[in-house]
Amino acid sequence: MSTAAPTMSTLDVGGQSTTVTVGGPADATPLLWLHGEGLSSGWRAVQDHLSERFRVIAPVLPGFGGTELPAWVDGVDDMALFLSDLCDGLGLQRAVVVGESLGGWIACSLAIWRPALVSGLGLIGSLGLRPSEPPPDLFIMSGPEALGYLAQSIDGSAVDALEGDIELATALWIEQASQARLMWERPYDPKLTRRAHHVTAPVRVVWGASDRVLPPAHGAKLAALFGAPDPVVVAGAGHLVSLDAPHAVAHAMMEAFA
Amino acid sequence: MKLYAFHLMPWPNIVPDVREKYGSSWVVYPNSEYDPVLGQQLYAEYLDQLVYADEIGFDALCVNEHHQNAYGLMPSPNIMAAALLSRTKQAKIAILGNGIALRRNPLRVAEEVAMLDVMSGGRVLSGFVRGIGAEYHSLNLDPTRSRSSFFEAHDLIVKAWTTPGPFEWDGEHFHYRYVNLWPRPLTQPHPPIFVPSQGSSETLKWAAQHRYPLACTFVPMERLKQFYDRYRQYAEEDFGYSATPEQFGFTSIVHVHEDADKAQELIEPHMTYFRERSFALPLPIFFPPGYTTPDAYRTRLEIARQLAASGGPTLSAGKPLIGTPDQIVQRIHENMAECGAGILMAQFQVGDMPHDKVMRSMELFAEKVLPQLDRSIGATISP
Repeated sequence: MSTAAPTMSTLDVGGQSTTVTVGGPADATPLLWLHGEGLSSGWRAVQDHLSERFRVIAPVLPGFGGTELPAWVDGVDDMALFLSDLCDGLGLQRAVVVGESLGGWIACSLAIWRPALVSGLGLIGSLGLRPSEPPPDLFIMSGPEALGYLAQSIDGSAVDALEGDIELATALWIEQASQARLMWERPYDPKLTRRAHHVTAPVRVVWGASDRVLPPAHGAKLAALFGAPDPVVVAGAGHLVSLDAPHAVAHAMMEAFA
Repeated sequence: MKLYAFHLMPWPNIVPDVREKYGSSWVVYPNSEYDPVLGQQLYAEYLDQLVYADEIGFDALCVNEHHQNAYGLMPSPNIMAAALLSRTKQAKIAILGNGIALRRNPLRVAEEVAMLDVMSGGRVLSGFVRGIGAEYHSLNLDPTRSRSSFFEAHDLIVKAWTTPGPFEWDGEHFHYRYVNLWPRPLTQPHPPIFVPSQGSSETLKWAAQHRYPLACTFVPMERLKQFYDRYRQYAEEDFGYSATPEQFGFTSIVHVHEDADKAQELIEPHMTYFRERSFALPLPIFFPPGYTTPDAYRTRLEIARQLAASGGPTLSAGKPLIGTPDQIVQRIHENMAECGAGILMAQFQVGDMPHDKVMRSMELFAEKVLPQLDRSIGATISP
């Protein structure tokens, strides 16, 4: 199936210049895609697949994709309220909100603060819920090693600090700095459990069977927290399922929300 | 010329394959490797070395702050300063420095340094540091807030020392309804501040603005000169004064022996230990994300690539202060003239160097180097 090429535009959201890529039929259900970490903010295969059935709206979060981290970003809730403003700016009154990893945590927060905005909540390898076992510390690892934890399909050698490309290694480091602001001191939200009941939309959880950051059992706990069906566990996929198995992610979202 | 005795108080038994086995001698190096019985002996010996430096006429004894590592065993420099102040008579204690950006409650530093200052009758030099990147891993602190917390903590501490309380502090990182130090410092307007730095332009400019003495350690002479020239330039062009040599420290490992070859041979294994084990500090630990600006990080990657090619960090800038007493006298004068420094910060103990070896070198320094040094400061340091 062919789809129109996505269009990229720059929006002003409360003084924050933000790049948003939009693709898919104009009259389809809107789907807000919130990217994860590890230089994964671009428009990729997963958005192409999703835009067969959704009008996909994919912003680059402040501090990611080569943008500067604004001083006002102090935590995940700031990102969620920024997205709330972004949706208002786009005239978006209701959307499926899908987030991956850190983006999933932000999606949870948005669904808590703006439940009426969210018609469905898709969580892919989402952070946010307190893990029962400490997850690996990607901040202390070399770039290639950290990317290796995120997805099976990434070759991280280009971001090696000593032997890779200096610009790419620096780009990853800059993104990790934005991530650090959000999750260095506590890599989950201790309030999420207490606040979860504010989410009114149906929830679908997708997890990589080979996730080395948080195991599929964590996905099951997250699904249970929101009263969602058992997660879709994708064989052969790591933490960033959308990189390892884009089609499976799109399929799960269509099945749940299209 | 001022003479400071510099010490890291290292752990001397880091396993040879620390990099391969644990990745680093910082943060994740298991503390089952620490032996408290040996630890007690080391503290005693290291303190003896610094007390001896006081006896032979050093102007200051340096302590510093590092956390959860085998590189330096002083997580609390103020405790070490208190121990030294009670055992010494003349020398100042230079705390180089308190990691004020590492404190969720920096007022505690203002209190502790004020206590030390009052108890010692004004024998404290108060260095302030951000803390190296590893400390942000060890203390679970967001490295992206390091610089702005550092500046605010500094402003808060100086105001707490100099402004009658109680007053309110309402900042970006810290809020206090009551700032009202008891005790307040004896030294007026406040204990002198010193800035150990890794040479970022922002810190150089800030130090120049406040006229704080600066010391950059473990960088090659070329870079050291660049850093100090930049400070002098800021002082001249932005703040309208000429920086003096008293504002610059020259840090170096020192080892004295009557036989030049023997001096080198005796210190070499400890330098290697220091480079390969104490300094087992991979980039993600040394420079965590957001610890510095992206430009500074890019530069750091270039430096890391040069170091990887050349075999490790520069332990001594300029001509090595390793050799006979006469050689060392001459090289001290040359090195300090070259970078325009007025403070020699001499490190006698390196890595796993045992106590008796340190003491022999220090004794020879006292006997044959010290009397020959041109101690008249500033313009008089010339080759």
